[in-house]
Amino acid sequence: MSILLDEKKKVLIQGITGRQARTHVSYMVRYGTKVVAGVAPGRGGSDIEGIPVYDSVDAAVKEHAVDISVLFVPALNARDAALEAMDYGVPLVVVLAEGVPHHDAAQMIERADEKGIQLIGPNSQGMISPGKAKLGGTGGAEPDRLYMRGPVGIISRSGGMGGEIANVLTRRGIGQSSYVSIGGDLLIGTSFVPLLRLFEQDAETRAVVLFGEPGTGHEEEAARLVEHRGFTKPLIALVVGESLERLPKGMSFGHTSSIIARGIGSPSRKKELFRKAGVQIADSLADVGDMVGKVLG
Amino acid sequence: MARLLEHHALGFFREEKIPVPRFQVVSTAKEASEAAAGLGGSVVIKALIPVGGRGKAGAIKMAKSPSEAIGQAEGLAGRTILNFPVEELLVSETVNIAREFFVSITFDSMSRRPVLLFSALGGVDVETILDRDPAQLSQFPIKLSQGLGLSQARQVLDAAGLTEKTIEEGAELLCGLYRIFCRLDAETVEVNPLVLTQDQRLLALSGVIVADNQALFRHAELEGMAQPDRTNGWRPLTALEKDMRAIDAIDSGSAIRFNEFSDGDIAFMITGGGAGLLAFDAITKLGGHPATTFDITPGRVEEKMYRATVAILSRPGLKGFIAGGNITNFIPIDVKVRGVVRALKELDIDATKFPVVFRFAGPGVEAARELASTVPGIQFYDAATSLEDAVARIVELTKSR
Repeated sequence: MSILLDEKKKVLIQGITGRQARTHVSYMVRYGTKVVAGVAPGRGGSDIEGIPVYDSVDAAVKEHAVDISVLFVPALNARDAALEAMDYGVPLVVVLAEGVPHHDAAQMIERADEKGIQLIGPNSQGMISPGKAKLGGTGGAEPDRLYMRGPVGIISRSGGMGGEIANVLTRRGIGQSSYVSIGGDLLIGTSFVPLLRLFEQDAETRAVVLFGEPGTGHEEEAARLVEHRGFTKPLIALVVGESLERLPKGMSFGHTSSIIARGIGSPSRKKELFRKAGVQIADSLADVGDMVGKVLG
Repeated sequence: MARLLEHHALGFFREEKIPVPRFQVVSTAKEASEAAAGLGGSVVIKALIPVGGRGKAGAIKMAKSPSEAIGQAEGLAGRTILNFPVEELLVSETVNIAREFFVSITFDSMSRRPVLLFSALGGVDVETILDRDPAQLSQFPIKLSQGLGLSQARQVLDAAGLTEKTIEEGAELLCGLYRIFCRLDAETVEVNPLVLTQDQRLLALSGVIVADNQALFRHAELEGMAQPDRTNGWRPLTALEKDMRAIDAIDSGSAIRFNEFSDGDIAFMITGGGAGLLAFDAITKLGGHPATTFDITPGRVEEKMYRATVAILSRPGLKGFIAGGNITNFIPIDVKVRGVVRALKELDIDATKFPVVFRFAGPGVEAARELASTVPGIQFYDAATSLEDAVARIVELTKSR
């Protein structure tokens, strides 16, 4: 099993004619992702490597059942494209764009909440259910370099670090059920908690690794879930950024969320809450491998 | 995160008919005195710098008369306060304050929507008090599709114990702040203190607007006001940080984020928001002192990597250099390495004497290794070595120096 994504999910690509989109879509298809259609305003009627292209989501969903839409559209168009997907009933929307304005992100999130749609991102790198399917940039041209099918779920606020964690596990012969890159922005559609609930239900997943950063209360919320037995499988957390606490406030390494403000979001507090809840704290990538190895026995 | 100077914020408040004190912007003590005379003699003089905490830092002075204003303005103009040079002063009328409040409209990462924060405690250092005692701060979530309505605004003020007439005025004021928040695509719109005068008027005595850098492309009206290049969050840019902004500007296809630390001695170019933090933690834990942080988003990066490396390595006092990042999915890393290696060669860096560690992994790793081997002494690591182990290597190599 896996969460959110497998080889049967029918995927729509918004912004399919862009150069990056074409490259990634070809990798996705090669890996097994069932891409059924693409959208590119003004390009309806054409096709990209056999994938039919439509002018709008409306036109695409009239011809195809769609489970997931992946948005390869630039930040300034991301809101409109995401709202369009939601308005036509796509139940899972993945926004890859980095640099989406806060107000736009908040609008997408509000609409997703109203309609009960799972929004991943913005600033997600995508997701992968190894051996089945992948979305977005995750895994690149050769996902097998980093990922293999197995019992560990990964959720990461950093796209790159999700890959590093998978690399550590795969090198030890430990596979992954699904990896979801949730995005490093201040406002994201789906944080750790809803995904932990899905991993809890997933029979294949036996442990989860979570990568946390400074800023927001997402890790704190995950700690509460574990404390209240909403997630009962082994959870290993790698939370970085403690060194930022000794630097002046307001500094960012790149992720807009990673700013500590109003007493919440400090990595040391996140770790403390995790520890209290019984979550294992990894101090390094090597620790992640050791801890997961141990819990799987 | 571009913080507007106070007079710009007050200007936007005025446009929305939010009552603000009469004020004038000046740059000399003589002008400050003249402004004081025009504002009734008794004034507040504030340094116009793009940071909070001015009250505690001595950047806000009172003057009872135009002649006193000269002395107070002389004590501010030309000084450096909270790392910022004081070039202009805001002179505003004094008011008789009966009560002070704190109001902020900002985004909450947990409810993932705008939130109106209100406290019956306002004034200097209120943020520290609220951090210590969050119960003093009431939070009211706002639905974007509905906006902040007058009735919701009234509830906020009613809860703070204001009288009926003031509640009406205050509700209009709060709705005006929310309109600014939306109209400017702002991250934060804040009034501290919002004051109730002894003659029962509400006044936004001081204001903060933080613009969203990522939305500036659609806000020509903020040009010249929201200056992301003015500060890195807590101080003005260093010369090297300014150079880096210029390097970043050669091509909009990718974006550089860069910080410099005055006390560091290891040039640090580990890219990726998460990987950068992980490696920064690791290097600090091992007792190493990074002189920089560096991130670059995908795009045509070779030229930028080349110029950035030249700029960083030209800094005096460095003991070593580490470059790399997390395993990339599709970005050919040899393109990055080509830029860095070109810089090392041009600077005539002898990596057998000045330690250089690379940790690059992803497509193009073989070409990257090949390029690195043209500079004798570079220690090259790939996905078989963790970021932390690569970091440990540079700390070890520089410690013995």
